Amino acid sequence: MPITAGVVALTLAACSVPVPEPSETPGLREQGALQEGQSDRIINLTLWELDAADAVKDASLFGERVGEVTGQVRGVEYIVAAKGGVAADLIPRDMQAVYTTSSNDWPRAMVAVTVEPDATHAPVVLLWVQDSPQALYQFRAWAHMVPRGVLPAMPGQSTGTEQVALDADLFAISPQKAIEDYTAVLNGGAASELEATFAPDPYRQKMFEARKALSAAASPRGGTYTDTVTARPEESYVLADAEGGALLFVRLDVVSDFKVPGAQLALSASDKALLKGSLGSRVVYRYQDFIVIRIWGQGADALPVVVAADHHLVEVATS
Amino acid sequence: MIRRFIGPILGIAGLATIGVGGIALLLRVSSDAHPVGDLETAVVIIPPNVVALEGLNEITITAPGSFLVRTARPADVYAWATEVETSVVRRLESWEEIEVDRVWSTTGILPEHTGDMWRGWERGSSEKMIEVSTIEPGLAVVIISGSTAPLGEVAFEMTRDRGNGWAWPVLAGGLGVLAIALVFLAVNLIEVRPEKKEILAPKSKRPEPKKSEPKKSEPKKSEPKKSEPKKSEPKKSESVIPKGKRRASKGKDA
Repeated sequence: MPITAGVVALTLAACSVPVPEPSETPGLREQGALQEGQSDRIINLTLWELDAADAVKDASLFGERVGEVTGQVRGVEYIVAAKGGVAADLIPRDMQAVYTTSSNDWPRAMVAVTVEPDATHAPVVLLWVQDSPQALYQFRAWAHMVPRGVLPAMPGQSTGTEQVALDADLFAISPQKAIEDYTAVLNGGAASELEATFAPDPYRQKMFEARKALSAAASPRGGTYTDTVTARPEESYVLADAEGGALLFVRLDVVSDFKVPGAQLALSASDKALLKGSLGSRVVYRYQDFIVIRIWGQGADALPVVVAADHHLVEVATS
Repeated sequence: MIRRFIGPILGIAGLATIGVGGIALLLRVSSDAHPVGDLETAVVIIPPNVVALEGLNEITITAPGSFLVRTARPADVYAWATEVETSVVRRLESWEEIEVDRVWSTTGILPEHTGDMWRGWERGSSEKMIEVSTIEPGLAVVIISGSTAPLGEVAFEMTRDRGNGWAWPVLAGGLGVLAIALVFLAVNLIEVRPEKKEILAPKSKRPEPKKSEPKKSEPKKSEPKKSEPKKSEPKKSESVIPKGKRRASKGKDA
């Protein structure tokens, strides 16, 4: 009997099938934070919001997908266009490239490049930002490609591109230094000692030309014209490219101050529509600019170059 | 001599082995398992390593109302869930029970539209079955109640090893041993039979008593005289003589 009981006990013990334990987390096939379907959805919802506001020229309709500054820029474009100024920027609906990050941190950037709508319009670079895991990606800025601007090859969405810190020491120049130096060039003008450290670009060329003309207009009457450019590094993002370099998406505050003591300035109808206050001898234009700088990998000889840039007026004031 | 014991010993061993194998077969578990876990929060995360559990085929969510089933990168899900009171499915406690941990949060439930990290979207109501094969490996599953009410229950449909896989080989081995034992027993039997024949042979050689010989019932007396057939012949006439008369005749002879 004890032998029988032992056999049965052993048999019963052997019968217990162990439960499977969770093993290591299986690797993701697609590492990118946003896959094509997800980015398409973000783009479509943004364009839907943009279309709805564009249809009635009402910037108050922006909110969920179009960010505050972008909405402000677009709202100014509606006013300028209504007063006979230039029409609001055309933002094509079709994208030729979308860059997403593989980052596990926030904020995260997503960039799309539109197709070239026609021979007179350049492709547009669009920037979205997600501030936190719970937040939605918001359309924060856009800029047209500069003539002969070339974007580098970027990692695909399935892997995502690395979103790099501004002080990363991975490139021929750190993103932070590139932004600081370019801001210094913009402030210093063509005579800046750092001017030669960047490849020529039409954005700063136009800014310098306008500065020269307005300074020339003001100076005979004892007036002045100054541009003050300030970068917003906390709202700038770096995406590593597939060639060892990176694209810097940089927000700039530009304040253009024109004053001629004793003079009564006159403005265009569209600028007048934007004016806050009573115009006298001084007018201050404020811009929210967005530029894209391409920097190169370590050891490269090429200079950093601006590949896309837009000068967006947001305010006209008397001080 | 030893050979005579091999058969019985093997027979007992074979029967015991068959018994063990048979019991083991009877005690094998079902190949299906349906462990269940309670969900006490409105948001539940099933991490990718749980989704990848061996044998897990389906996940069924039961809730009092509507809910969303989403998939996303684990890092995104955990970052998103830091502001949500969440349950996390950890492991199987047993084949009947799923271990679910509750992760407390000071904030409430987020609106369902928040976040852009979701790769998969599905809606469910009351009960929804998710086929594990449809979930991209490496993604976490998040279930979000349509209200602030807890979801209810999570159940797994699993295929498992029935256990005691050794039972069939043991049973077969036992049958084999028993067969060998039977062979030994049969050989023993064949070897024993000739000895019995030697004992029985003289009896079979006895002359068949004729029907007319009434003394068939007295073999003992006739045996010693087998070698003297001549003396037996006169007894043929004696066989009809009653016993009492035989004694008398003996007395006369004497």
